Amino acid sequence: MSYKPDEVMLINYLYGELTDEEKKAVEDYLKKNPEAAKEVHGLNDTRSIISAYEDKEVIPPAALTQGDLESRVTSNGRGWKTIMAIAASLSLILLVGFLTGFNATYNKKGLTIGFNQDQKKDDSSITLDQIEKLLDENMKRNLAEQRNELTSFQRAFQNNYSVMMEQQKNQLAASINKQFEVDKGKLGEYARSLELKNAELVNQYFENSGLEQQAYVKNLLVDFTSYLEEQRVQDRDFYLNRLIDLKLSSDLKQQETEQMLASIIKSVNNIPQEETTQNF
Amino acid sequence: MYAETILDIAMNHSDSLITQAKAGDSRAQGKLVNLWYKRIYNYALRYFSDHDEAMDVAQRTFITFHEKIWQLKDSEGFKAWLYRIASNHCHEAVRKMNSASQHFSVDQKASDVKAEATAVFFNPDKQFQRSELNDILQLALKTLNEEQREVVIMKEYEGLKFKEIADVLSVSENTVKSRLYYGLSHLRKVLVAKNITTEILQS
Repeated sequence: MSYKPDEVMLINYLYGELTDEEKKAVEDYLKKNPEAAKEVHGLNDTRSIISAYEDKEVIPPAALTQGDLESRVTSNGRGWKTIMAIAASLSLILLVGFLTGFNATYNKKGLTIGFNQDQKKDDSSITLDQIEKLLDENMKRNLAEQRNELTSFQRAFQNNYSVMMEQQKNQLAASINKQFEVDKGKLGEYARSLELKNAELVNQYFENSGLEQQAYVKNLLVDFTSYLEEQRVQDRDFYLNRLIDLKLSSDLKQQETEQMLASIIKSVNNIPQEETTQNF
Repeated sequence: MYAETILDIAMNHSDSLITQAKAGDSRAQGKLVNLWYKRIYNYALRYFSDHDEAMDVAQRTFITFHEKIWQLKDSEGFKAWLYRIASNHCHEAVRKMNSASQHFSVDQKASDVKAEATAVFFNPDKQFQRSELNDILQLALKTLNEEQREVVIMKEYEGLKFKEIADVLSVSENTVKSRLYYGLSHLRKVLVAKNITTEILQS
């Protein structure tokens, strides 16, 4: 009988919840059944793909994290009960009032409360319209008074503000002027001290500069004198050497000339007598 | 598939916090809400694909949490207990939706979602965008029936163990695994139809 793992076994295989023996049996089956192997492989891929569905960030409501929810839930319940109790009491009072013919009137004469009485139509009693009218008039009057108060307050404020601003402006101007005078004197002194200091610095500069220039020119002249002296010595040596050379050369020429003359004389002396005579 | 973060570690090692919360310590309760609110919100968001509905379920879950934390038997079962509350609120919300509109039955809604889901194709030529993939996966999840969807979300996104899911849903572990198998198979078909493969995502 051939082994075929059911879906539970395949899930156990996918999630690594099989014993070694069971795992080997499933793997052997998958080797023999490529279709089943493809299915299992596909399920594994599906797990991998759906894991890409990311969580969304969310902040829990403060009411849930403060931890006193239970007490508030309970107190809310009590509050509801209280409201219901008040509502029931009011309903009961109204019902009793209706049954007993309770009547309450408020007019210029005062407050009138009675039971089982026919309400007299009193001319002096105030109707709802009159109350509304009175209220309306009162509100208008109050509003007008408030508006007047506000206007007068604004006016007073504006006046005070203007006066205050003017005073401050004057004070500021006086203060600036005073300060300016003080500063002016100080500035003059400072400028004079600067002027003196500058003049001193300029003099010092020229003085230093003159001395430096003087030393420089002096050095320059000394250098030039030394140069001229050296040049003169060199020229003298040069001409002396040239004169020596010239003397040596003229001595040599003289010797050569003398030798030549001696040679000529010797040659002339060696010529025979007859030749000399014949020729003449 | 489920990568554990520092927040997850904090959530899974908060026994003393749970004990304090059970004893009525409001600060501990507040801290637990801070730790778990995001998880429950995202669970509901994947369940409904709707932010408002998810916020509503998350808030209801933590109101119930505040009211009933003292009833929790042991700290170890806190995670399953919390997800059970969230799951119950999700089911309740679905029931309300169904009863609120006679013309908007679950089947019709499911068929609409399928139409919506198949209308959106993943275009591999287009530059890949994470939000686009999120939208497609959200729609793909919506095509699952509720039983499969909640099991897939609890296992793949919330990292619950099979036993924990079984406890939350009050079913056997084999039922959970079976629902997960068919849920993943269905999702595979939807994703293949949308031309989404691991190769394309990796490229």
